[in-house]
Amino acid sequence: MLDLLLSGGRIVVPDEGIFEADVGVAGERVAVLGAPGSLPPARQTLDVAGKLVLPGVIDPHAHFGVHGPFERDVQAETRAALAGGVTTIGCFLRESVSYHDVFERFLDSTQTNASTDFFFHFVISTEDHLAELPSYRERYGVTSFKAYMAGMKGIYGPVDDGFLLALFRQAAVGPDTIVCIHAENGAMVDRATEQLAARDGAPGLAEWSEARPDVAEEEAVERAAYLAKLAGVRLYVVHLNSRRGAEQIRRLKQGYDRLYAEGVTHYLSLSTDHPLGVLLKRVPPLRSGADVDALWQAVADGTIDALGTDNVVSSRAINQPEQGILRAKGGFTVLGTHLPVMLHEGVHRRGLDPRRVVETMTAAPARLFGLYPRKGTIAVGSDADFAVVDLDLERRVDIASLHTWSDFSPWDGQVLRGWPVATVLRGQVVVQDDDLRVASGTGRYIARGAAIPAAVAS
Amino acid sequence: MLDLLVRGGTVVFPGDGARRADIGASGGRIVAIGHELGLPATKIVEASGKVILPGLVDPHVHLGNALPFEEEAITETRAAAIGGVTTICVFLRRRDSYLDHLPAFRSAIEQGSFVDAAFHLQIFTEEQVREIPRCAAEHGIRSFKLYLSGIPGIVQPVDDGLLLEAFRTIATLGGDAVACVHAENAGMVDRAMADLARTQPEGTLADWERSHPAEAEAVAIQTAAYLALLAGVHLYVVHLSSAAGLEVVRRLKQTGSRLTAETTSPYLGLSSDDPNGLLLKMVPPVRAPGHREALWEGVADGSIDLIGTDNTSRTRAAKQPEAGLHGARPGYAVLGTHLPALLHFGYHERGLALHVIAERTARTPARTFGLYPRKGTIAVGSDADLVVVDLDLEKNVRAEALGGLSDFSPFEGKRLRGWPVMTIKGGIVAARDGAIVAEPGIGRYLPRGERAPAAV
Repeated sequence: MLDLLLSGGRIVVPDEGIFEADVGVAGERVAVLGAPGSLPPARQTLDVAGKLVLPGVIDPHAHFGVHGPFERDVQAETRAALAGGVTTIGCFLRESVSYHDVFERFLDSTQTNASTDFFFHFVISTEDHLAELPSYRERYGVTSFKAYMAGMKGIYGPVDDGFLLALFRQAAVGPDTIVCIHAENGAMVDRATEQLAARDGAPGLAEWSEARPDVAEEEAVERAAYLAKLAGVRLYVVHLNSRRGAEQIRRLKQGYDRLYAEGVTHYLSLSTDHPLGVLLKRVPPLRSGADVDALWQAVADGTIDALGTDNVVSSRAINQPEQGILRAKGGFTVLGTHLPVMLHEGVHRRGLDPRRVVETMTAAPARLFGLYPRKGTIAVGSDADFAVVDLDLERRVDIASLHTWSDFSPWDGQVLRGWPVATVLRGQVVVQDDDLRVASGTGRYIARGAAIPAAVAS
Repeated sequence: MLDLLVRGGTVVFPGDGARRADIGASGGRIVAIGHELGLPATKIVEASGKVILPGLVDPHVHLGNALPFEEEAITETRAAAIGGVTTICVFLRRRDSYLDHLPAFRSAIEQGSFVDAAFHLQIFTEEQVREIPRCAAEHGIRSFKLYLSGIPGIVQPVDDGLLLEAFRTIATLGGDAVACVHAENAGMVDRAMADLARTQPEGTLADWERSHPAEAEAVAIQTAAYLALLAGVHLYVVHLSSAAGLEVVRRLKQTGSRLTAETTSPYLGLSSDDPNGLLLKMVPPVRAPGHREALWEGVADGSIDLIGTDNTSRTRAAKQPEAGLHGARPGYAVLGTHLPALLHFGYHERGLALHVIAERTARTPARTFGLYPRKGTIAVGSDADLVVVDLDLEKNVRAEALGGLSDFSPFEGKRLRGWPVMTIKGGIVAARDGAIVAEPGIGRYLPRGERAPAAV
């Protein structure tokens, strides 16, 4: 007997289309897809008539523990994620010590606290990291790595291009590995930021955008892509945020087919004229409305491959916008509103095909990061992760109902059209009718690469 | 009455061709070009059986590394004049204000040089960037150089932020201003240098190439070109050394970049398998033969616009080849072998036309740096800077015969075919048969730009 039946809905299968079909789940996997009404009864039935059934959304880009305890972020933000239809999260670990020293701790902490499935990317910033990279893949199933071309002020300095090329070569060990790159030219950013600091007045988001100029992204993308091509490694440009950056990626892709780019919720929806101003400081910065439109064009035409959140939960008290843009901290929660914002901005406001938007949020990240077809699609044998969406439901974002510990959201108070109404994680209905029913620790770590078969067998 | 008549030679017109013609000069300038001019002249040079090229304009010279600047302004320009180079563009290097030193640099040229000289300023600091407009206005300097990668113990690089600032400042001078870059990626070179020091402490010249990978050159050209495009400045890539770098240059030119690429005669004449070994150590390196052949293709098809020397004279004692791959210092004196190397390896060995050699070594450098048509060609009104060449003269390269300060040449021992037998600078015979015959100080400083004519 089936354990769960999703009946009466239309399923969105990336690359295939939208079908009227019922989905039968046995245990944690999809067991059968059938014509409406054709499947046998199940222990539990979810009536999804009039709804779209999406593969559970995969966010390949989240940070936990930036402004507080890692555990607290994992616990709250993965709940917010599930409520928002996100069932799998790629979490960046950013350590200066060997990951051999910390992996078990992060794994335990996440397995104890996470409500979504998750995987890790390791930020590679030291010679030890570089030397140990193959062992990270073999021992932990970590096949994705990240480098910051411009560093992160107060966290660590930039890596130089010699290191970057060495990383690319070291990571080009197998077809499944991929390097994520924060592409900004450090010296250009430093100089532009100093120039802003020397100016009078109270700079806002628009000035912050000039302090980390779009040309610094455009240049860094070109350089990173050149080095990646030398090494033959797959390169994933995270949080593409400017028209210039998008045009650069579009051009470079013609010469290198292992180059990928990520769009991020806020760069695809917010611009420098936002009334919350300095509270929305990010690195990289929010850009103009024209940049937002250009980025959506890039999503539509495939220049941007996948969407993520760059979730860095914070609070008003932590960000301290009253300190001014240069000294304020950055970050806000995104996971709970990722899917509705993308449906609202992409499908409804700009007329993108919902299949394209769904693909970039599910199958594309799954493929890039070695999760496919276990995650990222609706197919027999895949994990039964679903986001059930009412594409026309209009709701006002309310920070209080987002399950995050944060006290603000850039979208708070905004009416968005297109919301998840139920979420299924590996066969378990965890969200239904605004009711989040999940125990912390339900989330499971996903080892990738060579380690996947064993993990799948478990 | 002409001051000078050069009679009976075959004149090479850059980019055009070669024709039999006489050349008449008066007051330091060419006043007549024609077949059997038959005009009276104070001095007549018989050039039958010889070819006459415009005096070479070397866009890339360093002075003052082995001896003080004012001494090398004599010794190394003597080698230049003997070798057929009549104009040099000298990269000045200071870390303080150039405004304080330019009068002395100019004076050193005017008092000691055998050839004419223009200056490029190497820019390292914010202060120097700010002073670019004044250096241009007061001294007629229209070209500046920035290092994307340093040379340990010699020069420091600028970061991309200052680079862009400098580009923008240079662009404000006008369309004739040029931003020169030493294009190697600093991070890649630093890492490769450290790797090589660790893995090859006893390496040979052939290993040196790995410390400055071709890809570091290629990606730096790309970066510089991007920033130059942003700034709207004319970018000049000095001493292109690799096939990978050339490939990027070709791609950028196809997409319309305002880009001029230079290589050097040592990169065209030598390769890292050379028996002279560490005497050839340079930054960027003299590379494996495949790179040399690629560069010749670039010269032939015009992807490489011009050829200089990157002359950095050193004595063998200062070069220290015995200190090994990592201890030896980069640099060599090559002004005296510039033209013979290109005639031998280009004209004789590869069939490169003389008018192409003249284009790459005289007219294009002059045009690029605002000296044309006064320099770089053979035309009525141009300076009477001429080099009379015996294409079939063969000589073994010997450092002591080259006229400069150095006691070694990277071309040492090579038998080259095609040598200058006379060099005329401003209508004055400066060198003949391998010896200087003029007095020091016939050279003039060449201010450039709109103010240049008045200043001259």
